[in-house]
Amino acid sequence: VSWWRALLSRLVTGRDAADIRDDLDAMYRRDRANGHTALRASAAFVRRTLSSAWWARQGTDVIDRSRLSAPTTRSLVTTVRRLVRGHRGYVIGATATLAVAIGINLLVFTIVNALWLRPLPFADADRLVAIPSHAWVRLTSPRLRHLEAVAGQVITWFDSTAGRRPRVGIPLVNRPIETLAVTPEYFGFFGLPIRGRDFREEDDRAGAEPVAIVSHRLWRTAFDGNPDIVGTVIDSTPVRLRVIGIAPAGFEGARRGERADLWIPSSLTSRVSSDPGATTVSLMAYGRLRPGQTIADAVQQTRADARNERDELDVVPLASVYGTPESPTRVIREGTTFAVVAGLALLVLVGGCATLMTLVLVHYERRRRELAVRLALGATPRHLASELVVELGLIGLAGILSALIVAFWGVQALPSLSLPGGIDLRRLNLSFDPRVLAAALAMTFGSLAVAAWWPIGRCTRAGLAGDLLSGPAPTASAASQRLRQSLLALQVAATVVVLVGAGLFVRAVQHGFATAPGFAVDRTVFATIEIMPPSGGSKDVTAQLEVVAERRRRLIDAFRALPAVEAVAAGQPPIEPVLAERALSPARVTTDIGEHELSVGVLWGAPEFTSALGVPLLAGRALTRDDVSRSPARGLITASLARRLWPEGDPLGRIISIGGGRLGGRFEIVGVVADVAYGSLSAPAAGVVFIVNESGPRFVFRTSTPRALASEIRRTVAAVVPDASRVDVITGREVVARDLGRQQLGAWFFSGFGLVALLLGVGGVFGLVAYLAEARQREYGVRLALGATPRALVRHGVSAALAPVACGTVAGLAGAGWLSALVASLLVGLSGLDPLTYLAAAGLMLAAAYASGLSAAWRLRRVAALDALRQE
Amino acid sequence: VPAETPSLGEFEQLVLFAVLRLDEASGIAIHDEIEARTGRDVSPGAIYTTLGRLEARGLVRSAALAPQPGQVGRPRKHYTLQPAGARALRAAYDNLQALAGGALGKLAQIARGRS
Repeated sequence: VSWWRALLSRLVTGRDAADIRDDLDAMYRRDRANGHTALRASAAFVRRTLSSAWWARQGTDVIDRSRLSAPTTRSLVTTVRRLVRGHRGYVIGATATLAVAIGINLLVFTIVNALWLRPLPFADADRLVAIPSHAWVRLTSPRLRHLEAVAGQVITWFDSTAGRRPRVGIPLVNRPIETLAVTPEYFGFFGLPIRGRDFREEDDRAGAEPVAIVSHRLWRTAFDGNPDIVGTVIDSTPVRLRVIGIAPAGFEGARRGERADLWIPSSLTSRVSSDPGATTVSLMAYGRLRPGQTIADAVQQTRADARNERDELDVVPLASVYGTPESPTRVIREGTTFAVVAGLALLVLVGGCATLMTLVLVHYERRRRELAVRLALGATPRHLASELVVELGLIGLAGILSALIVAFWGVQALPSLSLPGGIDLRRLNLSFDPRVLAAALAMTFGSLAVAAWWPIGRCTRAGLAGDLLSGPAPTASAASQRLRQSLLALQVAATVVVLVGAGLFVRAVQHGFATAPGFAVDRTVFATIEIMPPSGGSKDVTAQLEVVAERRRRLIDAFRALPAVEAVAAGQPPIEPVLAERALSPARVTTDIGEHELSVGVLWGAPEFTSALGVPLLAGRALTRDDVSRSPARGLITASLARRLWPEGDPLGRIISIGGGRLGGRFEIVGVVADVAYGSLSAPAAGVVFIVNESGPRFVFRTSTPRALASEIRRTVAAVVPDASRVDVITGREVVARDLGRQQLGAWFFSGFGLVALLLGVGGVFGLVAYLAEARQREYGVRLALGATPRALVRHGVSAALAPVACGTVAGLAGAGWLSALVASLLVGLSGLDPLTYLAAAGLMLAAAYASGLSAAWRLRRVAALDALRQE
Repeated sequence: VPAETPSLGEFEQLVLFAVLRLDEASGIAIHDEIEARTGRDVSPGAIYTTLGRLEARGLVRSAALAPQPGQVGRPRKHYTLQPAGARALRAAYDNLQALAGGALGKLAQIARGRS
């Protein structure tokens, strides 16, 4: 039974309650089985439950009307009626505040849960690792053995993004069938029970009968859940497949975001793929850690074993991997991002609770006189207190229900947005988590209780008589006013923290795309094209290399002939995950005048590499093809590295020696270029040395139309070297976007939260000023009578809120400065204390507060001195 | 109306007819029967409350039946019609017919919008 249905059906009490609850649940399940949407079935469930609860309350004897007017029912009905009729503004305000604050939190934690926290649908998932690597070219047995040494038991599967996505059609199924090609024992690896059998070695041999395992979902929808489908051959296209098994319910692939319908053995890939000419495939692997082994051990071992950069593998927890057939596998690193987003959502919740507390305080401040009259007329303090508790409970309930509606609506609407980095929310399980709801409930009722403590305490005290004497307009007591002002300050502080965060991330992303990379982000395209010698050709290695070089020349000529290409050169993008790891490890850098511990990147490419990247030459000369054969090799150095190594002198003609590992070497500096980020924008290397080496499979293109060129490049490769084993094309902007994924996520989250927090803050200011304006009407009347202008009254009204807003802003700026250390590592080229951002956040908050206070105080212009005084 | 036959509300009549049709009926079966024949989706709470009232007046009797072999769950109540219930239902139906007899044509006329 789902938790929310269990919770809701608890409303039904009394005789036969257990039977009723069972029937309610059975009806819900039957509705779902009959194909009703979750929304429709849930609505019917809620309606039936509420009706059942009402009926069950009536007891067996409905004719006895006296039961209807029993004290509890009557007071409940009266309370609701009184609240809705007499205090509509308060009810709407409090409900809306709760709806926004809690609804947004539910929504955010639902996403966070779907992306990071939701357990994977198989046992022991925390021992499983994914080895996603762009460096996977082909699977060889030494590589597999190496992987097994790294991660114990290993299973491989095909990265379907490599342009060879298997495409299978099944009769009567109109949607695309998501197909994954996997190696034998795939399901056994995850410990998943399968109806039928798993893939075996013999299924994977060339010439074996084409077989497939279908997902539980496909089995239910396309094959009517018929168990006899196992063993039969289905009329699939382009190959008829024998179904050998049905995957267990709930398993649709190991990565988050995978919604596989069909699994086939890897040997079938070329027969069912969209590009049958493809001969090699891109592979990825999952590993199961040996007992006692940690991920850090495995990572260290791959590093130690890697012979060169293309051998280096990344080992990450399987739970943090997101991937779909359409987008590249993404590793969602938890930790900082998760903490920041969660903290942010909590800040919004705190802001919402503060607004709620202000509203409750103001409300009961207004009703002091009413409560005093009722006490004087003989109501017991106990009775009044219980009535207030019921009122608050109703408000809380209405708020929670509206929050659920907000969150439910958000979950429906969210999938139309997509998160930065190509994470498609439609592919994630976005169901609500009961823990989040429980926390939200606790927060709501907690803040309601705190806010109500004071008014309820007053009711139970006998000394309310003074309130009767205080005249028709209630005056706020000094204590409650101070409390309200501190609440407003707290809320403003939370808002300012969120606004500063939003500003920092937005600026980091802007900076990351604009100046930080150092190359022409919007004018470059990068491609990786691996060219193999033709099979069946000469066995002579030199001859083979000659063939490859010749095909490569033909390809480059074809590229040059493309009208959109302004320049093309061999060379790799300076920003890449593999390089990012390297940028973090410093090496010993020796020059003629000293020694440094620095991380220095080395980038190989054609002599035209730097100009194709759009990196200007500042001094010296550009590289030439001759420079590669000189010893030491000649290179270009970035400007800030040159300044650092030779603070006084001219770097030209000097020798730099980078020690340590396979990336070291001695280079003679012949030119200085502008700075280029190497590795990752958030932690770039201190500098880069460019040297000539044209042999790699990577190319950079310069163009004014990167997106159009990317597809032209693919077409050209298909025409000139149709058997290229790997073709990856990515624009400069995509290179940067991939690196800035977390910053973009941060900007997205912070901005959304900032807006909500600002709205709540504006509401808080409005409430306070409006209340004070009303409470002080008599005072303002006197002031008018004594000659004050309406304009002065408005100014006076606004000033009441400005002091707490200013205090809150200062506290918020201080808090943001303190918290910015948390996100400092994510900020590209920006200090966590960026003054412009802080100024802008404070300015925005103050301006919004002023505008809101002004609109709330506007009515003071119409205060008529006589009206105000006549009430005396 | 004879003194010994208790009067029945409209919903009580629906529930009693459903019990009559089903012999030994569970709450959900009664719900389904009413829904299938009248199109009314009534809540289980209403059905059980009505059944409780009818049982208190001796018109139906309930017995808790253990789950069938192979089924799981708690023992569930099943309701059967009692002679008093049958008499009350008959009387209610007869009363309705007696009043409706010969007036249905007029009813249709008014429903069509003509006096």
